This record gives sequence, C-alpha cells and structure tokens, in this order.
Amino acid sequence: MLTISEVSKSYGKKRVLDDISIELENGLYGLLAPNGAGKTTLLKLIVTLLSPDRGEILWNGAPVQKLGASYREIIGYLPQQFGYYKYNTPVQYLDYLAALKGLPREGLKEKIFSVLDTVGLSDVAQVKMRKFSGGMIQRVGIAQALMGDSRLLILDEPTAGLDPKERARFRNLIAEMSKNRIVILSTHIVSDVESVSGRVLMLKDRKLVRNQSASALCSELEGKVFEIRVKTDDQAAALKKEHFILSERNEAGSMILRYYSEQPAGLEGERLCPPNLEDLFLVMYR
Amino acid sequence: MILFRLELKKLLHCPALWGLFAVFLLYDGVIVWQSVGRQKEKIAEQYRILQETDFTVPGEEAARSLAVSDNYRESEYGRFILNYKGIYESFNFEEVSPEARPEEWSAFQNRLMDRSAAMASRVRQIRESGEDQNVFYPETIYRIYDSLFRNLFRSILLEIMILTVFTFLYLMDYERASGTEDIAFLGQKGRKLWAVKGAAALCVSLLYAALLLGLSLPLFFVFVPMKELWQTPISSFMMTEWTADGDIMPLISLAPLSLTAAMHLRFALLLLFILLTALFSAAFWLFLHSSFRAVILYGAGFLVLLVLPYFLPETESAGILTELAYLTPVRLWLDSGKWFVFRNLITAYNGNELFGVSLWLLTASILCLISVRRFIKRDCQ
Amino acid sequence: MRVFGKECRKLFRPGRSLGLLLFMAAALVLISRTAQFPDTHDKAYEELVKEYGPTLDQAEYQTLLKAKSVYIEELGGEGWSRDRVHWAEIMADESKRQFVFLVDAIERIEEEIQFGYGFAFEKEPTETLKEQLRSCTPQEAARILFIVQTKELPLSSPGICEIMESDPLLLLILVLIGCGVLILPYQLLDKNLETASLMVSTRVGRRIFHLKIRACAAAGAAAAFVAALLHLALLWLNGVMIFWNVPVCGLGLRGIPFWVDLTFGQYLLLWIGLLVLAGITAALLCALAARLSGSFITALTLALPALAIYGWGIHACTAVPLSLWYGDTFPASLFRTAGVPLLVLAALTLASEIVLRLDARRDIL
Repeated sequence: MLTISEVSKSYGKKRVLDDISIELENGLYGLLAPNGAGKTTLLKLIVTLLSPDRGEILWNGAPVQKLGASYREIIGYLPQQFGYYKYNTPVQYLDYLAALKGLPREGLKEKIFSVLDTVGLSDVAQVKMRKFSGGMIQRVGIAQALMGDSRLLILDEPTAGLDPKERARFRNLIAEMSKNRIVILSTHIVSDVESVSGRVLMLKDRKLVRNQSASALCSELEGKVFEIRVKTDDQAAALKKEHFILSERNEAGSMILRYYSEQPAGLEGERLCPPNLEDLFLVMYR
Repeated sequence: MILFRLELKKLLHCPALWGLFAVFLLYDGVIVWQSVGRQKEKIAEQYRILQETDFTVPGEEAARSLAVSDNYRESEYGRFILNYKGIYESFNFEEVSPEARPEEWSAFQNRLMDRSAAMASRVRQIRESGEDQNVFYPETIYRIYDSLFRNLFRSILLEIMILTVFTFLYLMDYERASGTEDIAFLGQKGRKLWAVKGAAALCVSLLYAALLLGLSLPLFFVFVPMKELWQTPISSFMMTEWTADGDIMPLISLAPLSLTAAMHLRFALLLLFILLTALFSAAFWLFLHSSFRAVILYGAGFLVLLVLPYFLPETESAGILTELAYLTPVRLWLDSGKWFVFRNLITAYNGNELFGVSLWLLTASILCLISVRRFIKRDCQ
Repeated sequence: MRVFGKECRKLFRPGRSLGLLLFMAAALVLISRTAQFPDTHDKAYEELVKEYGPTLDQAEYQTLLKAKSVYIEELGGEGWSRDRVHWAEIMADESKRQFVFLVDAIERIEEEIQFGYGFAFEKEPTETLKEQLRSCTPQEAARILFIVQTKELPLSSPGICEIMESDPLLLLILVLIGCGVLILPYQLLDKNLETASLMVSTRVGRRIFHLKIRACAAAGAAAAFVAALLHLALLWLNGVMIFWNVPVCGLGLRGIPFWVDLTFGQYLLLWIGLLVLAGITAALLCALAARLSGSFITALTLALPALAIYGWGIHACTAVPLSLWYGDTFPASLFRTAGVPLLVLAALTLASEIVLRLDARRDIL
C-alpha cells in the first residue's frame, strides 16, 4: 500500500500541492488535472525525486525516504520527458537501465527482448535510437518502466506520441498489469483513463478534489449534459452565451453543440446525453 | 540590427567568457611584473643614464669612462657598448653570385642563397646608414624587446585567438545547446542567422583584443619609460641578444623599421589573425555542427602544424612546401617575437608574415564558403 | 560495481578513446625529447655506458682519457677541428664522426669534474664547489658533500637531462588534455539529456552522482597510466633503457643534487606516480567545471584556466621531485613535491564530496 499523508510542496513562494492525502492499493489510478496543477510534482514526490515540504509518503507503513534503495527497487517510472542516448540501441539502453535498477544479470537479455516485444519494438532492437521516431522513443521509455518486478508503476503522459493502435495496446497492457500492482497513470487523454482506470484522482487548486471511480464521477453530471443541432450562426452564438459549451462538431452541413446546463434549456431538438469523464473534466476546470 | 544586438547580448552576458578573459588579463599582468616590474628600479636608472647621454650612443672614450665607473649600471652599460657597438662590422651573410653557384643546386637552394645575399645587402645598409647606432635598453641585460614581443605579445596573441575561438563556438552552438535550433532557424533570417552570429562574435572578439592590449601594454610601459625611444630602429646594436643556441646576434629587421612602426604592423597582423581564427571557427562549426568536434579539430590541426616544419626537408630536396610550413598560423604565432626580423633564411624576405597570413585567410575563406553552403542545405534534426 | 563499469563504458567511448590514444602517441613521437633520442651526442654516451656501466670509477676514468688521446690521433691530432676541409672529411666518415662525439663526451666529463656541481670525481670538493657550498643551507651542504664523497661519476648524456626536464611537462599536458576530452562531454551528456529523473528514480538513486565522479577519477588515472606507458614504450624503443640505472644525482654540468639516491628509472617511476595523482585531480576539476556548465564550450572555458593554473602550479612544485634546488630542507622538499599534489587532491576530493552531498539533497526538477 502507498500512503500519501498530508503532503505539501512549494517551489519558492508558489505552493503547488497543499495537504494531499491518498491511500493506494493494487489497481489502476488515473491522475487528471490541467497543466500546472501539480500532477508531475506529485508523481516526482512519489518516486523521491522531490522531497515534500510537509507530510510524508509511506510504503507499507514505512517512510519512502528512509527505505531508499529498497523502495526504489519496486518502482517502474516513466517521466514526462526522459533522456536517452542516441548512440545506443534499445537493448543497450535497457541493459544500462537494468544495471541502474539492480536487476540480476541472469535472464536479463530475455527480459529485455520480452519487454521490447511487449511494446512492439523487437524488430528494431539492435537499431540505434537516433533513427527512431518520437513514438518509438516513447515505447522504449514504456519498456524500461515495465522492466523488473515493480510493485509500483508511475507513468507520466505515457501515450504521448503513440498512434491509436499502440495506445489501445498500451491500455490493455496496463489494465492487465494493474491486477497485482499499483499503477498511476497521469495523462491529458481522458479517454485513456476512462476506459481502463479503476479510480480517478483529480487535482484542483493544489488539492485533491476527487478520488472516485470514473462512473461515479460521471454520475455527478447525470441529467446535465445536452446536445443540440443548430442551423444558424446566430443560434450557435446565443447558445454559447447562455451555456457552457463542452464540444462542437460539424455534421452534414450543420453544427452540433454539446453543452452543460443545470436545467434543460428547453430548446427545440435538445437531447439529453450520458455524460463522460471529459465532460466532467471540462466542467470542473472551466 | 535587433538580432545582432540580441546575439551580442548573449555574449556580453556570458560569465564564463569574461572569467576567462579576466584570467588571461591576470596572467599578462604576471608576465609584465615578472619581466619588467621586478626590475623597474634598474630600468629607471638605465633610463636616467640614457637621458644623461642625450639618448645618443657614447663614443669610444665616453664608453670606456662609463665602463670603469663606480656606478654598477653605468659600468655595465659602458661594457655593453664596448662589446657590441661594432657587432655589425663582424657580421656576414654568405653571398654567392648566380654565376658561381653549382648547377646542381635546386630552386630552393638558389632562393635561399638569394635571400642570404639580400640579407648581406641589408647588413651593409644598416652599417652604412648608421641605423645600428641608436640607443635603447641593452637587450642582453634588460631583455625589454624579448619581454615585450616574445613574452607579452605572443601570450596576448594566443589569448586573443583562444577567446575568438571560444566566442565563436559558444555563440554558434548556443541554439543547439539550448534546443532552440528548430525555432531559431525558422525565423526570417533562416539559416543565415549564422552570419549575424558571426558578426556579433567578431565584434566581441575585437573588444577582448582591444581590452587585453589596452590594459596590458600600458602596464608594461608604466615600468619601461619610452620617451625619446619610440623611434629607435629595431636593428640598433642595443638589441643584440643571446640566442637559444648560445650565439650572440643583433636583431636584423628585414627593412628599416622603428619600434613604433613595428608595433603598428603587429596590431595590423593581429587583426588579420583574429579574422583568420574567426573564419576557421565559423567554418569548423558549420561543417561539424558540434563545438566539441571543432575543438578536437583545432587541437589536431595545432599539433600537425606545429611539427610540420621538422618533417619537411631543408636541403636540396626541399621546395615550396618547406617554405609554406614556416608560414602556418601556428609557426607564425611561435615566431611572433621575431616578426619583421631575420629568423632563418627560409623566411628572410619582406612581408613573409603577411604572405603567410593572407594565404591562410584565403584558405579559411574558401573553407567557410563551402561550410556555409553545406550548412544551409543540411537537414535540421 | 556493475553501474560503475557501465559509467566507465560511457566515458571511454571507443572513437574518443582511440583518438585520444593516437593523439598522445603522436604528440610523444613528434614533440618529446625522448623521440629525438639518441641524437649523435647521446650515441656517444650510449657507447660509454655499454663499455663502463652506469658510473665511472677512477681506473675507468683514466682508461677513458687514454682512449680520448687515441681518438684525437685518429682525427688528425690536436687542432683537428679547426681545418674546415678536414672537418668535412671527418663528417663524411661514419667512424670518424663517432670519434668526434666521443671526444666531445669525454671533454664534457672532464668539465663536469672541473666544475664539480653536485659531485666531484676526485672525492674532494673543487674550488668551484666549495664556493657553491658557502651559499647553501647546512642540510644542503651536507647532502652535496655526501654525494661528492661517496658517488662515482654518473654517465648520463645531456639528452637524459633534457628528457627529465621537458618530457614530464609534456606528459602532464597530455594528461590534462585527456581529462578534458574524456570527462567534459561525459558529464555534460547526462546533464543535457536530462536523464537524471530516470536514473535517480532507480535503485542506485542519487549514488549515481558519486559513481560518476569516481568514474571521472578513474578516467584521469587511466589517462595518466596510458600516457606513462606510451612514454615508457618510446623510451624502450629508442634505447633510453640503457640509462635506466644511471644515478640521477649530479647530472651533467647542471648537477641537480637530490635528497634521495635515485636512478633515472626510479626518477621516471616517481614522476609517473605524481602524474597519476595529477590525472585524478585534473579529472575532478573537469567534473566540477562540467557540473557548473550547460554546454561544452562553457565547460571548457571554465576548465581551461583551472587546468592551466593547476598544471603550472603542480609542475612548478614537482618539476624536479626531491631535489634540493630551492634551498629547503628534506621534509620541505618532500612536502613540495609530494605533499602539495596530495593536498590539492584532498581539497578537490573534499569539494566534490560537498557538491555531491548537496546534490543528494536537491530536488530533481
């Protein structure tokens, strides 16, 4: 179990996180918040890159700063931006990181090729990474996070640069992995979180404001999300003035607006819609 | 203009470069102190003696009288004059007329002999015109010329070249180091931004040069009074010195040249050296796209040019390559204490330094042009 | 250990290491005094060492003087050197040319005895030496007299003296260059790639910074070893090893007295030890410079004056280790030649430890 207890963090005079408390057990947690809300800071606190100003983080009841190497041994971490050596092949790079992680040499090569296969890079295992695309580099990053027997997997924007097929593959993988480990997934791609995560953690104004399942969160907007087809720009403008627009799209020559309203607008063609997590995200952080 | 100012600002706000400049300035101060600062009383006393003798070379009797003086400086001065006043009388360069030369002599040998004859003629000119009979601080005692040009000036020249290289490479590599290359080269100037950077780097290099010279040289002359001595010809017998081989030899300028004129010519050559270094730095970076590799190339080039003269023949089979090996920037820097004077027969012709620098300037310009073309077409990854 | 090994592999990139090795070898072959060994003077001394061993005793000295007379006869008797045409004939004849240099070497030995700097073959100080001793400290005078009274005449060529004076400085410069070339890009690589997040979050954690510094120190020591090995190889190839057992005290007319009885070989080994120390210190300097910089040129701009001042300082202190050239006592000269480098190394090690401990606590943003 990972316990974050009353943790606060500031950069200079700017308070970034304020009194965050969470208890996490095996499962997949999505971490949602807008830019600058403190997602990366929270993840870095968990992996001991940062020290909290107040509060503490415990792993199975013991402070992680004191556990040191034995705690870091069980972490798999993918940073939002990570460095890699262009002159290395994925195998060489993962071999180096395996040494840093203290993975035993026995069976290491097989493990490396196995994770590369998992992320779909076994064909280019011996190709120097300077020839890789951004998405391929990202997959190498995911591979290194999956290496080793980590009990705690921290992934910061893992699907950035991945195509839809790879993203789907990745979602299935971490869903599988979350059965017997804690997986924290920080992302802007709400649909990734919605489809796989057990619980969603949402940060706002430096505090943790939600810690529930996606369905429970979505139920907050039940009966408050509508769609309407508008024919003229004036109609669209009037609607935008009155209500909070969630999305707009063009379809067969007319615009379909999706909007949030406490009460139905009473407009012709208005249709009640089941809310999704993105609707909640937009409403919460408007 | 705005871009130029912004690039200039990057350099002027770089503490590392100013720190290096400060270290160099300090080192020059140490050179000045060690060479002339510590003997400033001796020099001042010598200057007094020169004043008392009206800044003219004492005659035989006066010199003898000085030589037996109770005052150590005066006796030392007197003995110097007696020993070396007539040094040019016994000095000869070999002269073999073209008709008397063996047929099997190569073109190189013939050229060397021509230069030897020219030097012999120059020595005669010095003797006949009395150019050698001018006062200065006796070189074997005070080593003023050596301190000024071989120690201080040579050191400043190297420092300016290092600062130029670092300034250029720092600025050229700035975008790559900051990860802003993509954005920077997408601007209005595009990849020609390198030209703006080059101009800014050249300006700052010239500033460093002006400051180094402007602060070190006056400090030198604080310890060495030079009033009435600026126009002393370099070929004065007073500049007689001990060579590394243990011989005694005057400084024979290739053409009549006063100290002032020599200084001015040096400044001009120094400017050309700065330009040369600037062009090479720009060319290396544009070609290699890495300041590390550019520095490695400089290091390897320095070593090669340093030892090149020793691997080329100096006798019958020598040719133009041997002559050019003595005119490389490295060789010229090493010999910068002896610019415009006789060093060896291979370089014993007027303007050899300018010829060498110009040749290398041409090489650097061509290399720069090729590098620019390559850089502009290169993929920006 | 495994991570340390990996870091060393990152440091000693094949292209860079090979390039550095070739550069060092080229510099030694092209610039060092050893590379010019033996010149014609050295060859004469080589012959003497082969004939008489590393030192001369009284009887051997007398034999040498008789041999000189024979050589002079072969060359045409007294005044042989003044005739220009005769000189040209001598130079054209290989064996007679060798006699010229042997005569030159023997006359140099006679001069050494006459001036008696640092030693005198007659076991009694010469007048010149007595005058020198008057300006020495009591410890210096005692040491010099000891050398005078107990030593045989060391047979060393001027070339050996020149090797002792100039080659250590060249080796030091090569080691400093090696440290810069290997360590600056290595330290900057991870800094610029921002790999710290990944590294520090692994088991090895912030210890990675310690391991990097240790790898840098290893690189400095390795650069020194390689430079020393290359130099030793060159010494061997050029036949300098024949002088390995020649006592170093009182070499040539300069006659450097040493506090400890060293042979030329022992002197070189002592210098190799100092060189390794210097290499480690220079490596730490480079590592600190890179830590404070964002790019290679900035790091080089910081490292260059630091290395130059350090190199000059170290060379000034250890130019001729364990000599009594500076008018100090034996403990003082030991401190100067070994203590100063050790102190500087200790200070830099402490500084890097402090920086590392501060690093260990800082946030990795």
